Amino acid sequence: MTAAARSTGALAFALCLRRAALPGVLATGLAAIGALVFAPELGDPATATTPATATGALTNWLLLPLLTIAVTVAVTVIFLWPTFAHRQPGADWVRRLHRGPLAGCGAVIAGALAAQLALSLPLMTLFARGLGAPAEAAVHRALSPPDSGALLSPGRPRLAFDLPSSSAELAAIELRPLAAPPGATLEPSHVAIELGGAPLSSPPAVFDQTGQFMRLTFTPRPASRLELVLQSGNVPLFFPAGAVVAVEDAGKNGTTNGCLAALLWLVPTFVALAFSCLAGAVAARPTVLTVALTLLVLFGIAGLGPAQPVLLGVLRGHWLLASSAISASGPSLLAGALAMIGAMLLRHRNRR
Amino acid sequence: MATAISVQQLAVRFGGRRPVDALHPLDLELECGRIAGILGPNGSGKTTLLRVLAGLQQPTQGRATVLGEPAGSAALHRRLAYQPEGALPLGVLSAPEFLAWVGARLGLDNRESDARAAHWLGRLDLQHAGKRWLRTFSTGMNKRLALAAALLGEPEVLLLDEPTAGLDPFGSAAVMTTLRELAAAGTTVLMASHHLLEVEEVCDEVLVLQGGRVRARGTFGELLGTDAHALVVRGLDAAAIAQLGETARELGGEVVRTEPERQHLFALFRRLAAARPAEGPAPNPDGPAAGGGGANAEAPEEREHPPE
Repeated sequence: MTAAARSTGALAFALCLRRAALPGVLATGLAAIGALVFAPELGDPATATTPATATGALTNWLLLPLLTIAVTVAVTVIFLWPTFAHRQPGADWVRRLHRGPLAGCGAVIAGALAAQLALSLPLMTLFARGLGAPAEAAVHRALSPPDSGALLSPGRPRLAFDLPSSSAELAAIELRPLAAPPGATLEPSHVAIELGGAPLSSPPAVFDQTGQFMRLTFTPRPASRLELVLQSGNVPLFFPAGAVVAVEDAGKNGTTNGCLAALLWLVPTFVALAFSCLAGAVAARPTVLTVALTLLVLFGIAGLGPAQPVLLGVLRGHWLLASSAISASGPSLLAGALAMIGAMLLRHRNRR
Repeated sequence: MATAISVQQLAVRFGGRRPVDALHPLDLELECGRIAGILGPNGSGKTTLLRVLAGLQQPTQGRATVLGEPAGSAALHRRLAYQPEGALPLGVLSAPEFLAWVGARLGLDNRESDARAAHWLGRLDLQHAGKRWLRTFSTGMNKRLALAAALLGEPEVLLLDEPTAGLDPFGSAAVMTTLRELAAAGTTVLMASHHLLEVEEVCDEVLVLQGGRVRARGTFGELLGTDAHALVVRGLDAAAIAQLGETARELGGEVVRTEPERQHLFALFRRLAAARPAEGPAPNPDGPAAGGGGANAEAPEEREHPPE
């Protein structure tokens, strides 16, 4: 055994790996069965040109094993390390040997996160591919509506969007407008797209309900301006921020995207363990466990932080480095870091 | 002789709405190579004093130094070891794994750490523990492993909180013998205990605490000494003993007690254990524990008193 293998972080890594592997495998098996049995219907092949556009509906099946692993890792760490909670047997041993302000909690969290990363990498790459994630990821840029308004209606049949300056060529446009009821008998709205003033050769997108998703692919081309043109129909369509997405052509490696997803999925566990560490300065183990599990549920199921955008991104083939998952991670990481600092200060005060 | 532990006007008050004085101002000096016992009822401040010296508790007032360094100083990381009372951490590790972790935390070279671990595991009769998890250990095994972990860094000062609580007579004897040998080699030992006989047997001096205050302090001679001397004779019949008593009285002495000699319970325990069929590391007739050797083998012959 090397010196590194005897370190506290390595101990936590090995133990979390051992404890979380079996539940992770079982949850993955369950998720695979669930995804097969309850497979959602894919989008209209005429407009949704790749099955990946509907894989967002499978996020729950990817979430199940990931959340199982995160919960197991968090519980293992809290039971393993005596200084994670207040007044645990063996805590004085650890404080004597770990003289830092967190008494080894930082090293244990690092080891636990490494174990989670090792276990979630295959899920975010291989299992996600099995669920239908595309082999290549692409940069998706959400367009902001023009200042003059975001409504496309018979009274205002043109909407123009400025495209971000990028050297990459566009390969597809994704539309998900909100629809309002028309004043007369409903006639579906037919929307054509012009890029840089030139109309696309693909047939227009037809909308007759709100939240309807349409993906229009075309031969990759450079463009600086996108216009939506209402050709016919009377359903008013509202395009708020994010309702129009320009998909760049530059293909990114899907496996790399999966690895990024696994890294970003560490954020919820880090935040949960950081707040547990903070609570553990004054609270006993049941409270610490409650804090960790509550935060993991809020992240994983309630959609707090980057967890949901990461899962959607990896399954839909959105290049995560250019996605909202990165910006959603910032506040969570900041909160986790502040919790760790708070834990240090509280623990220092407790020594007095 | 150099001072190992020096405490001046040290006091600890635990805060809150109703503050509690765990230790009232006390002074203590302990020379290198001495063994001192801290006695006192529960809540008397024994553990608090040890925790302050180990750097785990900040004193409210006063000053504590160990080997010339302030208590809790990083310079004492390896020079001082503290064996707290209670369970060991990392209950899912085996004894060698736990000692490897302790060695790594103490900054020991892997090979040296393993060699020391093997030595102390053998010495304290834990070599048979194998890959068993610590959480499956008996209280006695836990205590002995805790001592092995405390000794891994070859500390100059050893602080022990109830080192023999829950140990059987053999384990207790092994610990006591080890402490005597360590002190002979220059290690300073400060131990809190409720086992009066063990403290009397192994310690050079004693500190009695009650309610956080020092009630008595000194060597056993200073605290318990009388002008009487005991004479133990063997091989005389009743008439000869009566004559010996007469002689004592003629010399101005007083015969306080005459009673037949009997063995201590410890000797009976050892005989019964030796006769028992071997179950793992069973004690043997020549020593308190088979395969234990070292400290165990010497213990019974040296003892005047049985351990509790």
